[in-house]
Amino acid sequence: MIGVQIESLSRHFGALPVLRDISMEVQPGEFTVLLGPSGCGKSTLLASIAGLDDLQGGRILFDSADVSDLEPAERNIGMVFQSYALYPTMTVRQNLSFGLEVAKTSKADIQERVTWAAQLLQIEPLLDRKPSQLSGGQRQRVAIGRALVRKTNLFLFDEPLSNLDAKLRTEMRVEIKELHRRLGATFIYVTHDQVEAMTLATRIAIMQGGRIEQYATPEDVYERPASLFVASFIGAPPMNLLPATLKQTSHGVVAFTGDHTVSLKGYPFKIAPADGQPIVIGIRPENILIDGNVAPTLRAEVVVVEPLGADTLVWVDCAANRMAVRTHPKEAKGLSGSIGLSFKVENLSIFSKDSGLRL
Amino acid sequence: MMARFALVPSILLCAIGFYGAMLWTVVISFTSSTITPRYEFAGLAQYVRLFTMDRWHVAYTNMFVFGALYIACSLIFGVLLAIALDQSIRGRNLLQTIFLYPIALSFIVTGLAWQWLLNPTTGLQNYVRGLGFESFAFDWLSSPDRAVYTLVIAGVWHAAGLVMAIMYAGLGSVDGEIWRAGRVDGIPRTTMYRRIILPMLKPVIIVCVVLLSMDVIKSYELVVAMTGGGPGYSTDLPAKFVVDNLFTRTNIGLASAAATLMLASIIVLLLLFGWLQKERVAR
Ligand SMILES: Nc1ncnc2c1ncn2[C@@H]1O[C@H](COP(=O)(O)OP(=O)(O)OP(=O)(O)O)[C@@H](O)[C@H]1O
Ligand SMILES: [Mg+2]
Repeated sequence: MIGVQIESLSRHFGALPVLRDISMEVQPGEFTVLLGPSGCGKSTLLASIAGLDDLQGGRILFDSADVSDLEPAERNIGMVFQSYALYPTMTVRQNLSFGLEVAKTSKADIQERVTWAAQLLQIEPLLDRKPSQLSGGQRQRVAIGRALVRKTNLFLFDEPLSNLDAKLRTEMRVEIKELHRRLGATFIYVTHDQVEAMTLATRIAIMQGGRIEQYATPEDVYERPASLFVASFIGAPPMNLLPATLKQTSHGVVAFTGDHTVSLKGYPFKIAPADGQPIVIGIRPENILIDGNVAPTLRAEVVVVEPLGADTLVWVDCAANRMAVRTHPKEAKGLSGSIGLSFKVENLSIFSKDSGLRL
Repeated sequence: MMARFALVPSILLCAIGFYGAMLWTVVISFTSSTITPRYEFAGLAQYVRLFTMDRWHVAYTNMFVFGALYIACSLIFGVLLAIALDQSIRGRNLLQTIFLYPIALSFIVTGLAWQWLLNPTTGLQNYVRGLGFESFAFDWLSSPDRAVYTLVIAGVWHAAGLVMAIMYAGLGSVDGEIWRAGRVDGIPRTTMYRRIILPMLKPVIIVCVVLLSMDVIKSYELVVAMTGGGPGYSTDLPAKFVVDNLFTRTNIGLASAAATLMLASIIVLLLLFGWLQKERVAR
């Protein structure tokens, strides 16, 4: 197991900054997922950890040893690429053993490692085939096998499942998680699929524009997003966001949104809020209750009802904001017109409108 | 519909002009024609005569000597140049200019330039002697045993650029992640090229070999411009043999027999190429 420390890393292509002052620490044995929209720099960050690109600033340490100047091979990592990058003219067996041969590993040792990896990944029957004779999922396994035989404790994956169909992706996801458990090694995994991120990660680093917006456990990222970007990126549909204005009153802190007043009494503000500050209130669709009887917090007009099977999404308009409410199919039956909505203060996320950060 | 009919004359013309001429040549090769075509069946007489001629043997052997060296050297230089291009961003334009322009030149120009360079009295030998190395000798052009190698030198200079251009395009098409995977595996660059990248480009290399082989079989201008087939007929190639017999020696039957053998060589080559391609698909 290897811990990875990244210290104020920066990377740019010409004048274009791609990574801006990134610092993070991956604990030994952790499964860290780098998640973010296309072009945010995930692959670049992973390539920097692998040593495939030169850095323009900052350091990378493996178990507190500086590896910034080492070649990828000297860093002793296993890496799986998005296009698999298998050597096409070689058989699966040669693909697995070639790097070891070049490194002058003994024949017996190579044989043993290849057999071990092939068994673990169940690719033994494929060992004498060429990559062109394999399906996408099989190629993926071979690519993982080539990383495994290096007997390392740090594995880097760059969108390994993005070329597979939905069903295979789900299967491989489970296998990769199982592999992580069995090897006990450190995994750093790039994806733009939030389901993959939520299911695999011990911690997720959410990236945007070359910065890390939040690096936390999947629960934290989901329930306590650190910024407006994270709130709107995670979740399907994402968190409902209502622009509002803060007011200090004799009843505690309240927020005005449209004609509604929302009491924020009991919200654990990290920074003391200022009177009249523009804010955004975030609330997950499943944390909103539909109730007509008790004094509701908000009133909204039902727009569409979308049954999803296990639950139902009710889309409503509330003070010119479109919101999604996740509810039980039974409750959603026959909903129309004006309804009342309520929620608990502890389920809210409140962001500063100016900085986009969680308050 | 009309558009299709409009093409018919040109297609017919092509077919008759091209394949008709081929067929006619084959037919003539089995007659006793000399100055003018004479349609009198003579069996394999022209072929028998051809095989008794030392000049034909020299020409046909030259084709293999020249061909093997020309193809091998053009490939090696072309590939090395392409790799050099692939590796360096600086110097790329210079290399491209030096080696790509020869393709645009006719073999005649190449031949004349090299003839001048290699000519003992005007070229390299004279120049080096002028520098004070009186004993320096480079007179391959006038040596019956060596003159064929001067053809190789000029031909390779001419063709290496083409191989370079094709191979450079091939190298550029290799997925960058393969290179990255190689770096993670710790495979040195030379090993990468030798064991992974070049084997991947085998189809491209085969195309180069075929193009070069065609050059060899029909190479005529280069010989004419550089050596004129001499000294004696030591640098004759089949194409030159055919043209000489057709026009200056007015021996149509013999020329046709030689041309038919050239055609047969090309067909064998194409079959070989087709088989190699199929082999590749099968694997
Ligand atoms: N070689 C390069 N030269 C110039 N710009 C580059 C280069 N490689 C990447 N970039 C730019 O860097 C940014 C980040 O690229 P990167 O490949 O890291 O994105 P990513 O987060 O992996 O995206 P994706 O999910 O699409 O793979 C992009 O804006 C891209 O245009
Ligand atoms: Mg990427």
